Amino acid sequence: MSEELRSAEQAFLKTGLSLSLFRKIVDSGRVEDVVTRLAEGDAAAAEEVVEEYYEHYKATADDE
Amino acid sequence: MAKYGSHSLEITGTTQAPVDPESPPASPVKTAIHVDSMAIPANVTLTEDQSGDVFDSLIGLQSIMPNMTCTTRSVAAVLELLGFQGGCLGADPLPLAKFEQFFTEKTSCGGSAGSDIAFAATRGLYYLNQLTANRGQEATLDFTLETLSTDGSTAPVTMTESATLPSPINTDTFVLGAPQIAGLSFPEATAASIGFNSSTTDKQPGWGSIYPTEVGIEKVRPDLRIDGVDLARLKSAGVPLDSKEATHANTLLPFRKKKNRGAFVADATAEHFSLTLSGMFYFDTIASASGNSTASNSLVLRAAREGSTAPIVASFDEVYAG
Repeated sequence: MSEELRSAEQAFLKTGLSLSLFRKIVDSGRVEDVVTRLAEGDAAAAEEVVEEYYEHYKATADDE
Repeated sequence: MAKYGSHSLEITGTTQAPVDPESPPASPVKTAIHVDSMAIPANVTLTEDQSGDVFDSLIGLQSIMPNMTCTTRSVAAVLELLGFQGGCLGADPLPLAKFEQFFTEKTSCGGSAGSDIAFAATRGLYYLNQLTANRGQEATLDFTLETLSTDGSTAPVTMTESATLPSPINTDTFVLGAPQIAGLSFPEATAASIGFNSSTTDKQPGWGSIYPTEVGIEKVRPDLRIDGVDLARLKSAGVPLDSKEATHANTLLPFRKKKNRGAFVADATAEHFSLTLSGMFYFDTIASASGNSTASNSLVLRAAREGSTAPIVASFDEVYAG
């Protein structure tokens, strides 16, 4: 695991959410720069990324 | 007559949609864990008559709300999958799609007959109940899945006969090292446990249904309980009667990974994990003694958010520094 990803993972875990959700978000590739944003941000930023992930998903589902 | 023993729980991830729409979706990740115990109480509520007769003459089903409970020593794997806030089981974009409890068939003389059975749920709400880490013993984790019907008419739990048993993880058990709480070491601690005190919204059957369709997490209020034998902890340099503040920076529960067919994985190997908590640390029992037994005390750390950070935070795949 890269240091950047490790750092992002640590930031995400501070939200109390699961690592499985973090991996899902990272693997999806549907949120731009998710790793970078998490690595740079704090726990609040991590939660924003989760919200963005769901909003992006909903928008994609609506388009389909 | 077939008899069965517990085998494992398999948690399946959701199918990952590909980044390239022309690529096939990646196979869902499956994680199977050994279980110490598991159960599926049906939680049946009956309707009964109000006739005043000694015996009921009218009975029926009002609701059936099964849940899956499980106790495992694969603590880290489950914490990674479920997190501390709980979550929903379902389809993408949720991370987890299915819980499946496997029971292995036993012949009358022992051993497996090979015709095994599985119970699965594909929708529900999972949450943690308790992490127990008694001194010198492998830690265990209790958790629950409140199963839901997808539409009110589909049963929330299904059974598969002649199921194929998964291969559970054999290398995921841990013991707790000496806890450090609110900047204090507790080498005398005899037992530690974290109650997650997860409460849920009311689970009711759907309209015109006996199966539940909705439930959510209402609150998660983790507390860490430490039982010890040092009665001199009650002092200003220890834990004052009016409590002591604990932070993520000064509260650490280091979990040391056990080695299959051995004692421990090397401390410098990044396979251990730790928990930090933040909150208020206070006495629950100042002193207690009976007969010739050693006197004991009990302290509780009631955890709460520290800024935007969750009350309890896990760090996985790290070296052991207990």
